[in-house]
Amino acid sequence: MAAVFKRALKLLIGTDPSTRDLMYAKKARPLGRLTERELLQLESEIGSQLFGDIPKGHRRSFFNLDPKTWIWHEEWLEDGTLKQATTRYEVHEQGVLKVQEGARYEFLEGQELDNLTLAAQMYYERVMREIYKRDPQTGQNLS
Amino acid sequence: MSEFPQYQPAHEGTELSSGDELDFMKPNPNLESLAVIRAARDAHAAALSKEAALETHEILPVPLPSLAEIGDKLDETRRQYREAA
Repeated sequence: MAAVFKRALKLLIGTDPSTRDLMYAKKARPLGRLTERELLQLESEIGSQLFGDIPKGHRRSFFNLDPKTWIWHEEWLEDGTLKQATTRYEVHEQGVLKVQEGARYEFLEGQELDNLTLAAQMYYERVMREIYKRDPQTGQNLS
Repeated sequence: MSEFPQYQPAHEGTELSSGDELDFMKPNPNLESLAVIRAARDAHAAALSKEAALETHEILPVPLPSLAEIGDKLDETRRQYREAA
């Protein structure tokens, strides 16, 4: 892994990428002992898979940060330079506000809102089943 | 012969003259047209409902949670995990 990617990943996830995979070894480290940040990283692994194949050289994160915030982060190398884009979706009573650096805030509507809602629903289904081992409908343990 | 239910005009201006008898066996143009209208309306509503369900993914057997509900549930699930650790 290129050094620049390692540094970028460390900035993003807050840990050394070379040791990061160890966190996902659930048998080696029980899920219950993970910090909230580590749980979010696990969720983001699932979130990144919801939108099909990730282009080579790209890294994608999609996760629920807190009850009112969803994060989409994407980074890639372009002409040897690391590019990245982060979009924050804030859930307000009057709608979902899309916040991007350098762009004006706007409430989502139409197809984009539908797409986000569907992605969040898929995320919820998979995260509840695959990480927390719970029934998404009832919240009860699956086992 | 079945007893016809009490007649309740759907629209003003529909009147029955005294002595008229209503039963299922006797052709009644008003009821026939009403049945046709109802059948057409039900078919139309069913078609619309199916289209809407497909468009909004409500074809799934259970209602899907909203964005706000999902956020709350995930937050609560994480909290429970942290507390159980």
